[in-house]
Amino acid sequence: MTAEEEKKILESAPVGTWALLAAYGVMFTLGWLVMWYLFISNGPVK
Amino acid sequence: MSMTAQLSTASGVNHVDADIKASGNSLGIWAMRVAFIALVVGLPMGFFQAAERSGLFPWLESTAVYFASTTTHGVLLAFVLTTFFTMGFGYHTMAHSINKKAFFGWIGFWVSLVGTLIAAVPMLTGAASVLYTFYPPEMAHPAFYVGATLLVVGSWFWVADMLIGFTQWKRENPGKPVPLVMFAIAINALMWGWTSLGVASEVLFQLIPVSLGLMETLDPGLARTLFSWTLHAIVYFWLIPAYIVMYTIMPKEAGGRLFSDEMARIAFVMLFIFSVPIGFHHLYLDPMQAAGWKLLHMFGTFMVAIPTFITGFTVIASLEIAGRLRGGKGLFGWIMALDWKNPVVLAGMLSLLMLTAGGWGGVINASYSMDVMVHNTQWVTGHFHLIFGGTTVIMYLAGAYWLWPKITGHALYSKTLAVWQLWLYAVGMVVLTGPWHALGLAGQPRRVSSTPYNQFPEVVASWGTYELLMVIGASMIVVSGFMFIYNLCKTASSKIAASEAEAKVEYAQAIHPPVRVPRLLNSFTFWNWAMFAYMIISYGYPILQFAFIGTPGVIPWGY
Repeated sequence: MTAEEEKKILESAPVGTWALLAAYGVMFTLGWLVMWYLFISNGPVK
Repeated sequence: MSMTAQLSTASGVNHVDADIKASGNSLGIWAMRVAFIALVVGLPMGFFQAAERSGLFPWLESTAVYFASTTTHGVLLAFVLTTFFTMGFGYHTMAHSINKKAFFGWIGFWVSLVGTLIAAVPMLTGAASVLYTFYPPEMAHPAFYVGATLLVVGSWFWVADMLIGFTQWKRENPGKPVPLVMFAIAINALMWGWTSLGVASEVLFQLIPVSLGLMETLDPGLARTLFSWTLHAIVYFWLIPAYIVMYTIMPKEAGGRLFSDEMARIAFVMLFIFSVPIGFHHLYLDPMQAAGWKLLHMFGTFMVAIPTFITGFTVIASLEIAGRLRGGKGLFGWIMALDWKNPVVLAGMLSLLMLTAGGWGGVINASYSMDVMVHNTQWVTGHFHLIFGGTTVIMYLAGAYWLWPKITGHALYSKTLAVWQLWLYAVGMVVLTGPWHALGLAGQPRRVSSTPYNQFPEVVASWGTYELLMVIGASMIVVSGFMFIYNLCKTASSKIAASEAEAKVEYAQAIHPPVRVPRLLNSFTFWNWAMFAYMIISYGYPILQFAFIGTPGVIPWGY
């Protein structure tokens, strides 16, 4: 790998990380909502 | 000049005096030996508990042994392993990052060790089966509380050492940023100082006097409030060393750079501020605190998600850089280009994976209304083990694989064995904790030695597969624990010298190593006062109320 290529990598935006975190954020929110509606369907605590 | 040459001038290797290196190494390895003895003794007890409560082995069932072993397992893994690992890692780091020697290192080590041994006697004889918690009216033999107190007091010597070293280095290097690894160790020490005050007050003024018969009663509401002060931040005291390995060791081991030094500092500062004054999410269903206080603590708890996300982003971005430097292409091609056979890199990836699931579960627990659904069920046991046993301890194991050749001077006995061990440990942890989450949602309670709810046979029958998986997962973890110890012992007794790269202590450098950082990211003064103010707000009235409202039938503080 040339110095130019290394420099380019070090200075580039971590797009893969952004994509992973965005996907995780969506799954996280959906998961939370699933639990919320599961909780609601359980009704009041007895 | 090539980029590589430029990188090498910004090396993470620091000058260390020979006597300071010897002292840091010696304290480091002795503290870690104690930590890992606790691990290897505590893990089989966890397996026993999984097998006992599964109902699959009736001949194993014993309520007394179950609760004695649960207490011992919890104390050994959650208190002894963590405290000694953190102390050992701190002493080694202070020597190698800022060239400072510990003043009280051996005093702290022996006080903590003697305390552990004193507490071990009532635990092993069944006189302290209190589930390793400090929740009255459960009451243990006074030796348990005295021993636990000494363990904490020993760790306060470590706190003093870390803060003295940090302060001395700053005075000698005005305006220079404290190396990130030491900044993080010191802020963890400061946080431990703050957070241990809650349980210390409870034990000194309530539990020890009552257990000795000096007082007849205590206020359990006050005791639980004081314990909640410690109960959540202690998890961050355990977790921060794992994050330190991710931030300051893993990027270097992966062949890359740390994405941002400043973001790491912000994350550590936020973890400090938002980890202590938020403990009431453990008391959501307790009656002695009003809903408004619980709501305030809930918002603080959610704030912890921010430094967690910052950590996830910064660490994964650092791995992405390493993967791309190793030739990885495309949006996700860098993942497979990473060195999955490096124990630190592998452990970091597995730890982050477990953190994604465990962090999500944590937000469910923290959501005031939703906590009701899972409170005191096996879900909580699953969450705790996934975050602590999974995310945290796997990084301790990785840290040990990194440190052992550096301290002993011997090459790691088997990298392949280490890789298999880490996989087995992580898979075992997922197989153990996944079913626990499901069992919790199915209504299975935690903190019980057996689940013979025969009035609901169809419910109990639906638990069977999960119970079996729980036992399989626990057995995988025990086997991997022995593989880990075997590898370290063989490394220590090996005759093969470590390579230069293996023996060198080198921390990851940031893409842009900081020349100067804002004062707020290099000093604790402001944050210490901020913590004081936040604690007054969040714990001031909730504690003071016991002096003028109190619980019917009890005397505040028992006096």
